[in-house]
Amino acid sequence: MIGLIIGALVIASKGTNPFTAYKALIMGAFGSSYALSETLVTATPLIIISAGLIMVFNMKFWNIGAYGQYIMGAIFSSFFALNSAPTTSPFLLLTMMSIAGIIGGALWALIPALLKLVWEVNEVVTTLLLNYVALFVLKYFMYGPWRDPASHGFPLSKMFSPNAQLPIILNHTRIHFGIVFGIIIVLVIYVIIKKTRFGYENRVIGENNIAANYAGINIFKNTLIAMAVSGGIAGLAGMTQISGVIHMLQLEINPNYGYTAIIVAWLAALNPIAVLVIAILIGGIEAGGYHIQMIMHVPFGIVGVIESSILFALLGGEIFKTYRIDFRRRR
Amino acid sequence: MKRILSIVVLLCFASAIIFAGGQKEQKKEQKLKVAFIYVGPHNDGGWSQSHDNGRLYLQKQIPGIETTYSENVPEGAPAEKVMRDYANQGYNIIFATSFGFMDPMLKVAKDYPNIVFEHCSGYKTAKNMGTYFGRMYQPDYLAGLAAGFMTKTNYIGFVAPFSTPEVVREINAFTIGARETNPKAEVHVIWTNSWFDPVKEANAANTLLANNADIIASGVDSPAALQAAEKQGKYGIGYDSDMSSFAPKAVLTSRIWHWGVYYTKAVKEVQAGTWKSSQYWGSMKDGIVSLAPFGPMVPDNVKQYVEKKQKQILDGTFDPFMGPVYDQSGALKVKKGEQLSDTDKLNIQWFVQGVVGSIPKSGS
Repeated sequence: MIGLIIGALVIASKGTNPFTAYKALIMGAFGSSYALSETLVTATPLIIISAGLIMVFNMKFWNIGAYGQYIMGAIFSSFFALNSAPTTSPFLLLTMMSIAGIIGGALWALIPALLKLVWEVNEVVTTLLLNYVALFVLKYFMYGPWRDPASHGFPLSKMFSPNAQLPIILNHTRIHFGIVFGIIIVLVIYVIIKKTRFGYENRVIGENNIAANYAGINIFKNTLIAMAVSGGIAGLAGMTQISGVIHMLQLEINPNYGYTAIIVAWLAALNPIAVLVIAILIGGIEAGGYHIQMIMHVPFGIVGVIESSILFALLGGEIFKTYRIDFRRRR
Repeated sequence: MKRILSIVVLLCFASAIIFAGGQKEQKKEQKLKVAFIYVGPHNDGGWSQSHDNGRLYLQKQIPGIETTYSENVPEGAPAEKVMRDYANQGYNIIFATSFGFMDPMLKVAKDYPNIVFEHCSGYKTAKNMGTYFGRMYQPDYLAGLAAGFMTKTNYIGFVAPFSTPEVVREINAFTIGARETNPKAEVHVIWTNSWFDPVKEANAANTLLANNADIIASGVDSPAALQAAEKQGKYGIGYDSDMSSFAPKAVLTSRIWHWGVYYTKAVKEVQAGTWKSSQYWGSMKDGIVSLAPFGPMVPDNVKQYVEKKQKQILDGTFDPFMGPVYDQSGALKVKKGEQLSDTDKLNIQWFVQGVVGSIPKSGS
């Protein structure tokens, strides 16, 4: 709420009416069945990645590396998309691509997990830096072995064969099968963190890992598993994006969802079910952002400003929830 | 609970805004609506700005139409969304001005057969999707002539984006020009692997300058390389639009685009119902490309020589790729009296003699 007001001030300072701008934003996000479908397309990777992030955020393991895990997932799954015969059955091919995507993301996530467990290297730094490494790995493949010779020197792979593309589940939209993955993952993660012993143990690790150790919880094993799941899910998001939306591997596969998903996970208060709602709202802000630009000619940066001010206001609000400001004079 | 409540409040707020915004749906007349999609900011001083200048020119030539643009549109999934947005809002013509918009545009074009799609610099077409581009190699050659005269170290730097045929062709034509007026001149190429990255462009220019280059030609979209040259008291050759205002002491000339010429032609054809999907490749004669006025440091004899050659290009008696043309290894590629065909020009992936640098190989 406060975030929206800050956003309004910024828009007004650029000399446009914030109400018309917000109206354009909402119409662009939810105003028609088409707009809604585009919002869901944007929300799909956010839902998937955030659900995975919640898994590790719950144990206070700060995985900032969904960006890189997403890229690695996309690269691993592209291996099958580009190297198997186009006649391979779609079910088999997509399953292989999904598994490859999960493995790619999981392997990338295990590196910082091991570094933390063995040498106590801060995971915020390692996950963040590995994002850039992943980007360079992608660049290597796009400028080297996977560049389509017919692309006239541009860093694009060949178009995926139709069998390597996730099916569209609603005609005349871009909503693809990935959203089904998203819903299943949200439910599974919900069950894991709320209903299983594993999820409970992880929360204990997050609250107090010395106590957890004393209680006989295997921190080493739990962290590895949770991080592999989190990274694997981000990798799967990468796979759904290139297979469901872009249909080829290229330099620009929009891994920034990996950062936006952190915002989503926090706004949802680390509740996987709430992720569904929040991801659609944030997806709407992103999708509607292009619409504002089209209609009002405000720069796209405004969307970033609104998003970040919402997060800022929310985290600020957390402080007041945990602590109460005491105005009484000190006695 | 509190959170759910706040979401509900948010939604109420949202709907309030919708109604507050009011029903200002005005009746739509039969106005032709034209949308442009830029990969960079509309005022980037280079590529996207040259297209936006084209848009403004079009608006002036045909005042009865409505034009708009989206800037900073990332290639990939968002580009497709922006195009679909325009298509859904009843735009009649969409111009996409970056190579990476090609495949998204092809997908969107299939779903909207009644909308005209135009893609700049690509090679894929559909019944309702054409491509357009210009023979920039002609001004490149002319700029090369001037550079050959002006260099003292015989070391000319070229800051280049991707090794696409377009860019390779430009470097070749430029080198042919430079070697015509100065057979000892060498053109050294550095790739930035990006269309618009001022930091990398300045770094590339500084590397070339440190290696004794005294002219930096830019094939990228920002003026950063030219500013780097000016700082060291060296010369530069601009690209996209007249870049002399960014580095007035350095810029000998610029090779510039006049997209408005094509935009006006295409929109008029759509209005008349004669538009057909084609691969347009305009020349200096058509006015889509040209050489900007020379800077004050260029002496008259150089200007006269270039003007003489320009005349020959305009009346069609001369082409930069007329034989004999040798490649880097010295092998004869085009025989005397022959000319490189358009197909060969469009797919060129080898450098002419005098270029120092290599074209990265692509895999399978």
